[in-house]
Amino acid sequence: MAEAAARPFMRVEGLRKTYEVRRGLFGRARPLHAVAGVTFEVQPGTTFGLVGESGSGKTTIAKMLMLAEPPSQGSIEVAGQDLTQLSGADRERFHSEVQPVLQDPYSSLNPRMRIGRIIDEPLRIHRRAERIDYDARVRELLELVGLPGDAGSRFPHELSGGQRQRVSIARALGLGPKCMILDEPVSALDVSIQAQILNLLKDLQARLGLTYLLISHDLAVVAYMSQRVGVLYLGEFMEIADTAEIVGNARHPYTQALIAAVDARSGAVDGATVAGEIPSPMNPPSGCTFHPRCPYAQARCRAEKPGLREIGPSHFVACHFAEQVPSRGHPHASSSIAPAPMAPTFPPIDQPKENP
Amino acid sequence: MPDVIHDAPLPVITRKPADPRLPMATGAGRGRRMMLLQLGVASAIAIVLVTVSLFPGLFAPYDPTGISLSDALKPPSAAHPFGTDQLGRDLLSRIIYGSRVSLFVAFCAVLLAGIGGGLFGIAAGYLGGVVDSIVMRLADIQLALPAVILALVLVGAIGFSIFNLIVVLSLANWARFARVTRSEALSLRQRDFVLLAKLAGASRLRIMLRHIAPNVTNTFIVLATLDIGVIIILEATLSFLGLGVQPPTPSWGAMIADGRGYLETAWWICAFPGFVLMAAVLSANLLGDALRDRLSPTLLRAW
Amino acid sequence: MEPILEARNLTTMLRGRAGVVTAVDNVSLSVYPGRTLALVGESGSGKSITCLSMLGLLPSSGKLVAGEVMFKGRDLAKLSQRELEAIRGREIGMILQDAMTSLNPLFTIGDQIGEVFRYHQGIRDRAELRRRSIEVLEKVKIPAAAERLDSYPFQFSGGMRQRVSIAINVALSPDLLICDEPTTALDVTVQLQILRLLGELQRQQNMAIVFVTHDLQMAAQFCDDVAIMYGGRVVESGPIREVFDNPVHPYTVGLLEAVPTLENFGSRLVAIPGQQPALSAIPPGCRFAARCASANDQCRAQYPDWFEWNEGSRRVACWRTEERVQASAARRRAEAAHG
Repeated sequence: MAEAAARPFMRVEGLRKTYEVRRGLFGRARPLHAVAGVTFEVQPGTTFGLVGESGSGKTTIAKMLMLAEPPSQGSIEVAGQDLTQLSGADRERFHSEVQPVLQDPYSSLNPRMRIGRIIDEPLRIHRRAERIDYDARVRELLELVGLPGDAGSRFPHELSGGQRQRVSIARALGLGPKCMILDEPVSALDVSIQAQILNLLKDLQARLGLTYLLISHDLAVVAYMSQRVGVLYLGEFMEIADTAEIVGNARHPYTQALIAAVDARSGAVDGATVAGEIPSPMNPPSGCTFHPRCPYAQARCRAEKPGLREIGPSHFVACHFAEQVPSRGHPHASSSIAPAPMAPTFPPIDQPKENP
Repeated sequence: MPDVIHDAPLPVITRKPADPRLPMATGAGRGRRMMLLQLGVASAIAIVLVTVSLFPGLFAPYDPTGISLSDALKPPSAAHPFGTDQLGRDLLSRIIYGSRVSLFVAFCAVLLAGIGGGLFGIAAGYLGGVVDSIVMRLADIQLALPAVILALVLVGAIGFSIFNLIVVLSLANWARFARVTRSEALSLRQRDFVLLAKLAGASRLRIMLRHIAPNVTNTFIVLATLDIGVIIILEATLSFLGLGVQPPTPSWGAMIADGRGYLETAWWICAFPGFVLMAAVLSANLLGDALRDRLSPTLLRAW
Repeated sequence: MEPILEARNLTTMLRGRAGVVTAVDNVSLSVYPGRTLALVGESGSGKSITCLSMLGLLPSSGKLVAGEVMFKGRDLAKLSQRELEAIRGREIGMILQDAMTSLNPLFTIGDQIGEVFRYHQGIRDRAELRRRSIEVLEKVKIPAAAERLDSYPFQFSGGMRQRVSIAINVALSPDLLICDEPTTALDVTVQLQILRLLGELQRQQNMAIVFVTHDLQMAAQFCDDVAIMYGGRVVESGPIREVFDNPVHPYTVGLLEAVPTLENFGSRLVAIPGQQPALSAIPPGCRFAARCASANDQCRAQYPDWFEWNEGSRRVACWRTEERVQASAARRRAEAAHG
């Protein structure tokens, strides 16, 4: 299926990031493998979700894709062009094609700039030959993200968290990007606001044909947004598959643990949970990095590192025993306490608008 | 409905009145009233001093340099509310004209020290590396030398004029601004909006001027207000030592120096300039404290 | 069953930049021994301030202006700080979101656990303090407890720190444990471990727990009762399974539909439009009216009365409770007839 699809918009191959970390004042520098070789492709117009806990390397990957950090090794290809080989002008063009939206809407807006100036800053920096009516463009962008067109004269502190995140999205859209890197775009927001932002992102994707790379610790958010999901653990992929496959037929014990953790929220906790916490990337475990926490670990897991292998159509797992591990996908229709939909009195609202 | 299988009975719903809503308490508490009073007194002093120093001719009853030996060393009276000095000059008029020099010099010196130190600090904090090392070592040197000694040396080296005095005072005071703005710049550098500006292709100069500098203005204003007090005292000290404003131009420090020899016979020559000096410094400090408590983007916007 | 803690009409005012606001408005809660009450709400709903008000831990800008907090026959709202200090830590424990800030970085774990016994029980003997501290660490399942006693907080992972903080708070077997977002700062796989630990400790000691969270889905799995707060008021309360299966207040319904889960990942989320009103601009009527699709003029003008059923165990503050309950019963009947 992957072969049949069009050329991928983004292709990441063997990406690594290693930091030298010094412990104490005189300690010797030791390597920390934040990202230990990841390979994936993102098809144009789709969302690829990277899910992982703290220390999984997901934010480091995002930084490298935004060109905020140089990779230690590997290549990033966007629209057929290798980013690591870019010259100045090409870099600038890349920045206008791939735009970031970051997690914290309080930190990502300059508190001393008016919303209008925040949104048109990239436009002014990338000023092209023709004259641009900045005010009109700002108004258009604000309305595109569901904010009133006159919000441009406000300051960030006059807006709520959700509205600020809309401003971040408007700013990212200013240069007409093809792709957005969404780094935990809703995790700092209140629950009732998260859905507004997620739906807005979905609508924008459909309307503008955007490609998303979504990074989140929340498997449910990733599943909602993505066509394909990669599960990261200690800087490596444990499992990559289409969303329905990940949710319904997860094969890696770590993916199953993430599903169990989300399921604990919506009912039916059973079976073994993983023990312990993510070890320090300073000294990762031998063999399979997940083996100390894995309920199914065996001698081979300690000794030999499993590589990603394809066990079903475009379903990759890094586990020696992927076939034997009981499939513990999400029991779709059988949940005992699925929330009852209140259709008659609470009709869906397609384009939620906020009034600041 | 005959075909219903599970017919759960509808619950019997009872209704109880909503909990009462208490009236909102309003009005300022005691702590707040104290703070407002303090702020009021401090700004009143500042307003009086600044107005007087801007238009000394309107307020001074006599010529500050008019010598009248027959009136020498007169204690405070209706004709001379603050008394006269050993040359019979009216002290009130001299204090009023002296405020022009003291406040003008202090204000200019703070501005120069603040803007210079602030820009150095921002550059050091944001650029880091060599720039940071150089700026911070220079700041260390300034801070290691007592301000009076530094000023003595500098005045000796470049000679005396009002302009030189301002330069000397700011050279002896820029390092605090540099240090504080540097640490602010260091933390602002970590904020996402700086990363986003960088990713949008903003130059380093643009980031420093448009993203870092506006966000250190609060700290800058507080620090500058507090620093005015320090510089007023430093200026008075230099004038007291004869290195500041030269006679016959009146200045608070020089007036106190003049009165030294008459402490036993004519206490007012020292006391009134000293009192006004204290009031000015106190008001600067109180205003600085109040600003520190209150300043936020919300407030600055109204300015 | 008698509640161990009963708060009646708590009202707390906060003084801020915008003036004085009512952060907690007539909140009443009952917590029963061996049961967990979930206090669910978004930031600014007043859930944390409610807890601080009950324990006398409000910051100086806050004041409990009305209400009573009955705990084992005494009104905590009337006690002095000194009397409250004797109760906090011994009879009532409190666990905060970030264990790093509730532990002192300069003292070892052993010192900080021992302090509880020293302060509340006057134990001075070092060997005895050590023995008891190890016992408590084992109770919260910290492996190699005796060796970890001399470690400092920074040497622990986030989950382990939260365990230590739980250990300090359950060391004296309190009757009530107040947990303010205890798992929010933790990784998802670790959250589950902490929730299970809390459940186990609760069963062992018959503790009552108040579990403050923004996550109704997680609360439904872990708690027995729920009170949902919005804009400083409780809008719906009851046994959590009933509320979860059959939510009545439009805000509760909205909260359940707005959160992505693994069941509904294929269908579009129903977002609640708008945002919570600022406490300085609370509307005269129902606080949710501006965001509610079924709000009418009465909703906007007048704060809703309480509607109760099942002997008062279910309470909803919504003018349209009756029609909503009927509609949902009719729908379930129809579903049952089809299924």
